[in-house]
Amino acid sequence: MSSSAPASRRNSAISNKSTSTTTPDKPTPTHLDLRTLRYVSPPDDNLCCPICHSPFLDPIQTRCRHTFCSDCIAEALKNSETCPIDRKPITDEGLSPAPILIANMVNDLVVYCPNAENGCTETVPRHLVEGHVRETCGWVQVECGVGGCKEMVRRNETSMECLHRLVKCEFCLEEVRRMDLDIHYDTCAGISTDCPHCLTDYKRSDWKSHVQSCPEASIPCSSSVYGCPTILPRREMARHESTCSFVHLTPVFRRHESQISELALENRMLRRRLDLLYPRATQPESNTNSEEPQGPSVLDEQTYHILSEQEHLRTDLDRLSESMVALEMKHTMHFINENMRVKEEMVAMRTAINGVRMQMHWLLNMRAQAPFQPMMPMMGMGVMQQQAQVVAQGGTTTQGGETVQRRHSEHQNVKL
Amino acid sequence: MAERATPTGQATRPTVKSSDSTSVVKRLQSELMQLMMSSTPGITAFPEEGNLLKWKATIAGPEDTPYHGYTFKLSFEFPSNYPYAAPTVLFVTPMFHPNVDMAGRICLDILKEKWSAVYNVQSILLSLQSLLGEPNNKSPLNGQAAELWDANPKEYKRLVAARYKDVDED
Repeated sequence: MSSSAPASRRNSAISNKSTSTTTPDKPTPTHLDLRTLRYVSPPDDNLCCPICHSPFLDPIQTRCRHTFCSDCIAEALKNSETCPIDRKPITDEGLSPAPILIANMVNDLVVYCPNAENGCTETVPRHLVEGHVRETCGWVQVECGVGGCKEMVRRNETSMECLHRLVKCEFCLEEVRRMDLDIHYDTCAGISTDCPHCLTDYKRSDWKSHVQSCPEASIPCSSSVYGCPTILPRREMARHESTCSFVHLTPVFRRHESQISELALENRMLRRRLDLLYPRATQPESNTNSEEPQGPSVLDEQTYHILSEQEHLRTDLDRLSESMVALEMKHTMHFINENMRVKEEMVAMRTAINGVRMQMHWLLNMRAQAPFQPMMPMMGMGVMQQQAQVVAQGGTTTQGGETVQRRHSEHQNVKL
Repeated sequence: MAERATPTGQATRPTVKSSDSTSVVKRLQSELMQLMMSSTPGITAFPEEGNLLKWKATIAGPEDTPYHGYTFKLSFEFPSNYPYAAPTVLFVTPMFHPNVDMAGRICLDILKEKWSAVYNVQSILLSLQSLLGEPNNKSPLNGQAAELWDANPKEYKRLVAARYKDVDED
């Protein structure tokens, strides 16, 4: 790095700027905006302008010894004639170039070529980037120049031969530019290609149709969609398909497929109908739910009142039905007891009546026989009673002797 | 968020028309980079989706101020000649502060006549954070807040809480 370099750099930067401003009509492919450069390594913060946050371009120092890019400080002074950092008043006269050391440091920062996106891999110190683009970068569009040709071409593609000359494609006889020939070859229909399967030459225009029918081309079995994994050259496929069980089952698969799709369609329709119905069932609920909290309190109170009333009524009803049941039970018990008693009494009455009837019979008999045995009634009273008992026992065998006993006691009760 | 912060030079450049907006975008990208690389506690800032000229930011209320415990959202809108002109900064979160009005507009000299091209998002956010603890009660936008600041800190704090609403991002 020679000591005279910085000054020349600065000059070149200025001259570059002036040319670009004075001759805006002329296309300047070599002109580039140094602000858009990409730096290979992140620049030191101390070398960055506090305004644009990029490494200084043409650094300028203020009277208060702050450094900015010349463009940045010029723009800032348009808005306010103070130093952007400490607000000390400054004018254009207060500006001077920054120390050469600073200019050197920022100019030596390595940057990528601006054509890096197109493919140039060069990295150069920043002060050389303009020269690189102007003179050596192979990715810059330059005039062809061969035979007075005015067309643009990439510098690394320039040669003794003009690339814009029309040449005839030797295969399809079409005229194309020399530079487009390679691209044309990729698609030229006249070029013959080997079929990758049967290794026969075919013109590219026929090639497609040939591959569709080439007997050597490997194709999947026609039932591959149903799971047959076989891939065979086309000529052997017919033989395979005659034995392939998947092929035989294909009609079944087809039918199933169509059924499934029908069912899926139906299912979707049903779901849609369900969706129509379902929200209708839930919506009112959600409506009331959403309205209740925000609705007026009158509604709330009324609802609450009705609900509590209903609760009261329900407990009342429960209580009533309970007592009803108890009452019924009691009644039934009473009824059964009474019934038993009445029944027993009836039985007792019946036996009593029977007894009375027997006595009456006996008495009638006695009276019929009285002319012959006038004394008998007086002395045979006890015997007669015993006979009556025997008769009663025989007539009502089901009731047994207990009944008789009871009759005795009842008689006694009656007597008492 | 982190994967969107690519080094300055390698950041995907949005298509821009003029060289003016190129420099704005470049500068904002480098600011974003800086914010991402050195996270400053209590402040965050990030561009809105698809527009580098509009940012959303937050500042946390500093300790020992009535704003402690709250996080305030702000919006930044950068002019096309940024950084030579100040961005428009507004509080999105409703704010009870002597120098902030009901629409969130901020009265701060560095956002107006004292703007300098060397300020950036980070320095603005730090200035606003310190403004929360040290309001300028001499030229208030909210007179009530300016009066209560010294007179009734308790009521002040209550009003800060009452005004504070966590604004959802849309």
